[in-house]
Amino acid sequence: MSNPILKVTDLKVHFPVAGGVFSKKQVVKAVDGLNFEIMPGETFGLVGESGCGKSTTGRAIVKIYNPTEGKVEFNGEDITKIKGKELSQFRKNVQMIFQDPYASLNPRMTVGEIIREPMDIHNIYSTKKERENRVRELLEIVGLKPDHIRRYPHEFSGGQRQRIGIARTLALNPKFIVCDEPISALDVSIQAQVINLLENIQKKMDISYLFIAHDLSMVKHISDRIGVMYLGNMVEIGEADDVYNSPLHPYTQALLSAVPIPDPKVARQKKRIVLEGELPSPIDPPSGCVFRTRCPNATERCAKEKPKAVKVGNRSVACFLYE
Amino acid sequence: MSMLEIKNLSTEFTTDNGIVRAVRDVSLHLEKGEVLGIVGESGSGKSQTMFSTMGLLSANGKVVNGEIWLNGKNISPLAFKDPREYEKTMDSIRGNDMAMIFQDPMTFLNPVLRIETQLIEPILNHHPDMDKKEAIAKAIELMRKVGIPSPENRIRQYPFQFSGGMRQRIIIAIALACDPKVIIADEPTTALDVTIQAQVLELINNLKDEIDSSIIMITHDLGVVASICDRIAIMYGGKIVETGTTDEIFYEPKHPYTKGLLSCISNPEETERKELHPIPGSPPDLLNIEEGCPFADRCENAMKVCKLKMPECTTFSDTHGCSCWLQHPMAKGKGE
Repeated sequence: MSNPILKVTDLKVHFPVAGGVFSKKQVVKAVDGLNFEIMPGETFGLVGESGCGKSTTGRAIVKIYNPTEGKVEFNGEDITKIKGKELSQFRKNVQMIFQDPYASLNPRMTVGEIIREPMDIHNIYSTKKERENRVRELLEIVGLKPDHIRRYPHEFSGGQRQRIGIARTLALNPKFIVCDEPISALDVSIQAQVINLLENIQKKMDISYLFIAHDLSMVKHISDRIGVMYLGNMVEIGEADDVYNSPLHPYTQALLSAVPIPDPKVARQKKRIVLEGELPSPIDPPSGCVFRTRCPNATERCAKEKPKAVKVGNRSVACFLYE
Repeated sequence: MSMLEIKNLSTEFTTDNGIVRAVRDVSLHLEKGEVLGIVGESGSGKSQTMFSTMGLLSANGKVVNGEIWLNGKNISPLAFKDPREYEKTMDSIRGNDMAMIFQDPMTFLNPVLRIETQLIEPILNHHPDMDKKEAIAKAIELMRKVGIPSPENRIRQYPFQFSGGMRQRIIIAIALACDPKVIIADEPTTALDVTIQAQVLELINNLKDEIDSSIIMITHDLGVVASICDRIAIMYGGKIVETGTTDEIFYEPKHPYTKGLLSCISNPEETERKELHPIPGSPPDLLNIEEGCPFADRCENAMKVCKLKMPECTTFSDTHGCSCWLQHPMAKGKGE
């Protein structure tokens, strides 16, 4: 087996929340000890509900946030402390696609300028002509017309804007892309277009994706392996099909049973595991297993100890039920 | 008799750039006790159809044609000579006969008023004979009905003390306050997480049997309609392109747009990974839109006639109908 392109070890990202004069300083434990690996050419899906820390994980990987603790290794090199030239080289290899195609493009720049900017910063082509040719090529790759180069973002629809964002991401030939909810702001018929585009690009250019989303059916469609997060912790990792067909962790089971199935006959028979209550606050997460307050199988032990990830076949589950 | 019947409704918006024809010749009916899903992408006119029905259009919007029959009374603004009389009628209908559940639970509730104040307002408005104490008792009962724990205490709290799912329950409770005959739910679960969405859908499903209301569910999520609706209307470009029972729409779709929608979503229950077939292009701009089928530009089987004239509705059963030229006898064999 080849070496992982990305390895995350005990990643923790905590944010301080300003307390009042008399109150204690508190921290939001957005990500609290994650471990996972992504192989070259693989798509790793990260799912979970809002506030579970999946976007924070993605941002810590591209170094928008600095981890509080833990290591992120890219191609065997720890990137948490890199600076200067090394950082610049890292940015070339790791790019990000953002959720909101309306907010992630500068409205005052033309499409050509937007896509060319990364090349200008990293000086990868010597002449302007070469860069412009590359921009046209990129526009074609993402399914836009090369003569769109002089237009402004407002002239495009949401799906087309997301394509512009993807073209910008590809400008530096990255090896790894973090896709942070790239389709959730798009219409259903457009979502499939973007998903197919991402899949085609991966086939052609051999890129690894970290695909962050809350739409579980699309994540299953695009991912090779999936990690399920709950309140800053990874509860289960496994092959996409395995996780969907036989979820092991009680949270994964509940999450998957809650996904509405677009097939009325199946939907009518489907038994939902409806979770009681709401997500606890990441400022004051439950002791032991963070899911225990909503877990139907919780025991006394779950309150005392934090379960470690155990291997079940080729899956890893953080739950005492599988020890 | 239908609970609600909309006939040939058209709504237009005047903008700086021209006239936006958001709803074009829409006809719908809602039977007693049924859940009707209106499915469409953003800008398809699904919300504006319902805003027209409720009389909640923004100032630049106007109903230009059509009838809206509720309980044997035409409540289209065109049926009233005096706009003040229309407002007065709608004031007595909104909340009492028709209530609406909105999409965003974070902005619907007034942040500076207690839940109590917001819940008893519709009750007191529509039951002048009730005093405040009775209204509060009824409000607590409503909160219990929608599954809010310890309502006696929580009724004194403010919206910020509730989570998204709980707020959506409050909004549902407000909608139920006066036992309306028709409830219009505009994307009630879109802003919620999957597990909370499951809770709210379960609640709506249970309430459906308990209360005596018909529900119109506006959504873009085919998974949601599959699990909750009896009948579905598919909207595209301001028009209804296909209607049918949930099974008819999912298993025997006739319109190319419906087929396209169904083939570009991924079903997690399927074991083999099939390729998604997206619909090429993007939805039409409703500004100065021309006659003809709005889907023609994106349709694989589009013919000359599609761009010129909107097709009539072809019916396949009592419940199933589709507006597409491919169903015309002269187009037999095309698009199969």
